Amino acid sequence: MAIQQSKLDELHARREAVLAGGGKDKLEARRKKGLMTARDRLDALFVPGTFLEFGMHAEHGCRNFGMEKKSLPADAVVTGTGLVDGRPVTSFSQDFTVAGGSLGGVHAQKIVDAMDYAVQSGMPVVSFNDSGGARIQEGVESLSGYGKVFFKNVYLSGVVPQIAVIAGPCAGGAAYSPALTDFLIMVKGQANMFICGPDVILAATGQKCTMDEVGGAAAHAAISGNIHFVANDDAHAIQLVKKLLSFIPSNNILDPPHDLSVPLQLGPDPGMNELVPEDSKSPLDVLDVIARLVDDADFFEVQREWAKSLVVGFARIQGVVVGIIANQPKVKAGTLDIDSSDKGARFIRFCNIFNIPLVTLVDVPGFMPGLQQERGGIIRHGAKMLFAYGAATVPKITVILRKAYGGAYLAMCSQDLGADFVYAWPTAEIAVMGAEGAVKILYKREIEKDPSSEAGLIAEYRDKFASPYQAASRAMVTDVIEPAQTRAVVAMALRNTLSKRETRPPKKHGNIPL
Amino acid sequence: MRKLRVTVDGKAYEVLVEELDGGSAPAGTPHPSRPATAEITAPVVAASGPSPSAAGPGSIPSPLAGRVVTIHCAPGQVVEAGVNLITLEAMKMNTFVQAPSGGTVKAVLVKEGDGVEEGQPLVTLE
Repeated sequence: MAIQQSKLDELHARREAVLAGGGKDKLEARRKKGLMTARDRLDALFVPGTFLEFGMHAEHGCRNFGMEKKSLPADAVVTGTGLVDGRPVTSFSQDFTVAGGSLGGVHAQKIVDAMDYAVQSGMPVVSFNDSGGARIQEGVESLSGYGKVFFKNVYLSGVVPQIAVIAGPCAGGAAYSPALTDFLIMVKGQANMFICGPDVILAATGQKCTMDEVGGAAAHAAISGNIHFVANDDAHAIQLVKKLLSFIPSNNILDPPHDLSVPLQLGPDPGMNELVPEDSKSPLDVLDVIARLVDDADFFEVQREWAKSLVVGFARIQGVVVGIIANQPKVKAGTLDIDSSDKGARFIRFCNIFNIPLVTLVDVPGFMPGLQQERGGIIRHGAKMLFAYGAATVPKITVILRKAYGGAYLAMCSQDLGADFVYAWPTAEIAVMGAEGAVKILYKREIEKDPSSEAGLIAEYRDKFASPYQAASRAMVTDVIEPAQTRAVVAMALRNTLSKRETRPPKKHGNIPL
Repeated sequence: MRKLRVTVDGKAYEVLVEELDGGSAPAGTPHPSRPATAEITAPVVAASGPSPSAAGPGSIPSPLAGRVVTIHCAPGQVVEAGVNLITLEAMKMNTFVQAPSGGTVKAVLVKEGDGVEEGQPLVTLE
């Protein structure tokens, strides 16, 4: 009594054919070029032996253009679930060796089914995008397939984390599925992403440009802000995925992976005092402050190359996972501008969805002045920061390092925007505007009469208002602390707010200015 | 788990280090333990950055609108990459304009006290 050998032989033969994708020679050719295959990527992502494949025997149903005679293994996309660092994750990986990874009806259905599975089970979705685009032979069915994937991206958004790796071409409409996810990682050199490529741009507008300029990883990381991380190769992209997952929960009802077993260290860190320049005009590299604030100086910066006057990223502070938002005075004096407001607001909203406490480090002289900024809609964009902080119900801890001026101070999570704890260093300057400007308005007549009085008036104003104590006297600051106390105090503030629950009136969603 | 003592700036920290074996599946653990390390790399800056049209090759543009406080270089001077060429003041903060690469200062295009626009060439390097 045993299963018929012929049944097993058929299964094995069918499996082997699917595993070979577009053919063993094509898979080898990719590997020789230093590229992983669709299945290599999943093998590298998941703990070996844990991958459960969905729809391995899927076949397209196209009857046009001779397609009925062609077999497309797995319909050019491998989908399934497995364990990443011990946690279940769903993934789909497009196979460029099969019909150029093109998306047809069944291909799209497989992706949608995997996403449905992920959202029902509450696990992250990691996609590997490597596709020539729509499968034209299937006509409008492939277009509809994209629509279904987009709809599912939106359906999942805010419930489970979605991470897209752009590992090859991602052109036209295909780019919108990654764009709807939470984080995009692009592999340098082998990936590109664009709506209209150089040929179309040339034909339509006469503008000449290269593929790198339009859709390369560097352009998207530093200029368009469309992506969050650049990877050197496939293996590095997967390392980045794992690192990112290590800071975020599997879904929106779980807490992030805090490690509350670490013993609290509540002593001072004198090195933090030494970082602060004597002169308030000397820029302080906020990355140095972050390195001392977080565990093991391990700060996982998001969108490092774009809108650099604001730094955002993940870390742990004495075991508690946090999202850090910090002004960078070394770039554009730390001002908030259109791009940095967009960057900050999106990051804050991600953290709020996934229960990640926010730690805000403030050193902001104001919003960036300029005609371009005003005409570009700095009002609308800056409002996103206010909206994102105001709407966030996770623990919000704010540390005012130095400058905190005007509306930008509010937009960096002042107490009024719902911060649970606000700490200020003695170097904090919390004021409605700078002394020079304020004195010109307050003492216009006096200065007109006696211009020599201006310097004294500025000094007087600065003494009185360019400090943390006026704000502290009005209970806008929890406490003024030595920089050396920051790590210990923030760690305690986090432990004290982890059980925070804030409920608001029910609504579909607020109307963030987009 | 290994317990290590790490001293940073004279202060000793006790840390627990767990060795992660990629081959085993710690099934059932709800959260990953300490993450796999992954370095973030800087991309090569794209050729068509939003570089201001006024700045030709070798010219160093002002990163923001402000006032020139100090000029730290003079024509003919040989400078290394990262050296501070000009200090600007804007938005209550000093901004250092540094040499992006080593070279010889060909011309200094502004003087102390000048107001400058974002993107305005400040120095040309050869």
